[in-house]
Amino acid sequence: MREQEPMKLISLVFREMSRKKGRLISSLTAVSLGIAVIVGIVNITHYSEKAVAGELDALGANILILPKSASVADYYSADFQESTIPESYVGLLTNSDMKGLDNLSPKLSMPVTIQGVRATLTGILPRSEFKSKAMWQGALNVFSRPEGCGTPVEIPGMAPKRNFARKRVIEDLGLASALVGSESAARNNLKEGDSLVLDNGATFSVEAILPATGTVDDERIFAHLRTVQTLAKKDSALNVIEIVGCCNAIAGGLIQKINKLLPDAKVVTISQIVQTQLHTNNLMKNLSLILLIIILVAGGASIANHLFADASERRREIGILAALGADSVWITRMFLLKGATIGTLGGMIGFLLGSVLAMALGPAIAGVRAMPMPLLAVAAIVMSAAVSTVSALIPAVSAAKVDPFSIIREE
Amino acid sequence: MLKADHLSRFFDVRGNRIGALIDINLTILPGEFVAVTGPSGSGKSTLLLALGGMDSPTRGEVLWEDDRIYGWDNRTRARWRSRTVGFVFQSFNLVSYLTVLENVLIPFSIAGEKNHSSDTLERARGLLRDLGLSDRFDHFPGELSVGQQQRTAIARALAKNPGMILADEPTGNLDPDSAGEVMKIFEKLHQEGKTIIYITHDPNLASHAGRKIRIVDGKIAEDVCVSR
Repeated sequence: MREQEPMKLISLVFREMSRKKGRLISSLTAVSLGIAVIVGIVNITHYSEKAVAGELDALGANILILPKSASVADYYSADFQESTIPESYVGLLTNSDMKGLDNLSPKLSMPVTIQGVRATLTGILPRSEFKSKAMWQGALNVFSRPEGCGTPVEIPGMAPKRNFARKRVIEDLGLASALVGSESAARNNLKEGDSLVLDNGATFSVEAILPATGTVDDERIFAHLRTVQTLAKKDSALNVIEIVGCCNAIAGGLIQKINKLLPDAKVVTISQIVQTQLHTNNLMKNLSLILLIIILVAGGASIANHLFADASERRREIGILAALGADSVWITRMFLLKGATIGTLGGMIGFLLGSVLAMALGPAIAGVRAMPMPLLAVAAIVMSAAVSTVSALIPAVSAAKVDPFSIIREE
Repeated sequence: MLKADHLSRFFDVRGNRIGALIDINLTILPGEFVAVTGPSGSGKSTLLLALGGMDSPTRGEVLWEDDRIYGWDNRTRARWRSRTVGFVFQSFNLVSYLTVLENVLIPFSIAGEKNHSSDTLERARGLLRDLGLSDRFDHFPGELSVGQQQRTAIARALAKNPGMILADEPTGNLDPDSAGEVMKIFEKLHQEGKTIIYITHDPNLASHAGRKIRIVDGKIAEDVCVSR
């Protein structure tokens, strides 16, 4: 004889469910498949959003703070003439309570020549510069991706080494070190470890050759901001502050806030980048939402249908339980618990299935590698249990209304 | 004390008003052993269910210790049933997917008794042992003889130690030997002080009771105490 606990309501529910395995499997399959599809879509959407954001971030900043008299064309040509903005703007921005400013990258550019050929030397504050440029991080193999819009995520297969990155980026890019854009390196036949001597006499050690980005950065030589400020004789001055702003924050009025904070500067958005990000994010979110609603309604109807049939078939049992002292609340609870149990089990199975689905189909559908998301597991189980419980409500109330007298009289 | 006071129950069947119980007046004292007899359709089961708080009368009252049980709300009446009344049915009405022991534990589950779990478990086992089912705890109803099923149903009715057992033809589906066993159990319960009200068609089985009530056409045709 097995050792046994006194019957709890949940035990009763489990025993009853295990009696009709076919119907249980059918309901669980409906709920699990619904949840699996939702989990798969959300998972792939999440990773593809991040991948798109990462790729767009790699194109550079989406907000520029320029001197009032400068234009975007000046920014691309690094030809700011003598116009500058004070470096103290960086402090004003970082100390403000504005949200959505992901990375600040202050820069000062100056024209230089290398063996008579014109080039642009750009001073950067290494930490922020590295954090805002995905492709650079790839070159140095230190960051997996930049911190773009939304929560930073880890891309599977590319383990981040943030501590190492910070140490190397902040502390190791010395005042006499330089990062050389791919075009500039090719033109001057430079490779990592070489010495770069400018015609004005300044000498740098080449820390890394940056991969091609297809932007003006390929033509530039990057050195420490302080070094460039000294060479340009412009202490505490900048030409531009690049910002990777969260696109949602930009849509929510971030530019106006920066304008208010820095009235003497020109704030420019690179609208194509922002619009593309917003459009992509909205498209994916809307698609997910539509599918979510359809699947929730279908899954809820399936559970309700199961429990209605159940309540109808178990009228006699309900009558007997009522004769034994069960009131309508107890009977309602029994059915709600059954709905919640199917929902919880369906949520768990659905999460596992959906994660496998996302991992299998992610590369084919969206070109991204997806991984299981633990937070999504919690959301899937809670949502599935909640929808199932709500769907069980009407059948449960209907079952509780069964008149035990009429059932017993049928004997 | 359980009392039916001018109790009437009518049903509307295809536009016709049928009287299942008509102006029943009845008092059951604690510890009485009562057999209710009568032809089929005379209103015996309706009376039993009305006395057990399972069916609201059309007119009249059922009083428990002078309290109108149909004046209570459904939850209160369900709680009263759970504590005071044990039902035994002709077709046993065991829950097929639960074992014998689990069936006996259902009333505790309904009452939501979380404490003293070892006590409730031991009580359920003790009842089954007393009814000769000590080797059937883990069996399912379908694996039992009809007599064993009815004994399980009696154990379930006794689980919460109610003061009153209401049995609707408890021997109707049993062979004579099993029926005799059930009546012996009822006699023993009566001797322990419980109130027993049972319906039977069999005059021999009715003779076990100390009081016989005969219902005909919804009315009490005979109500006699029998010296035994």
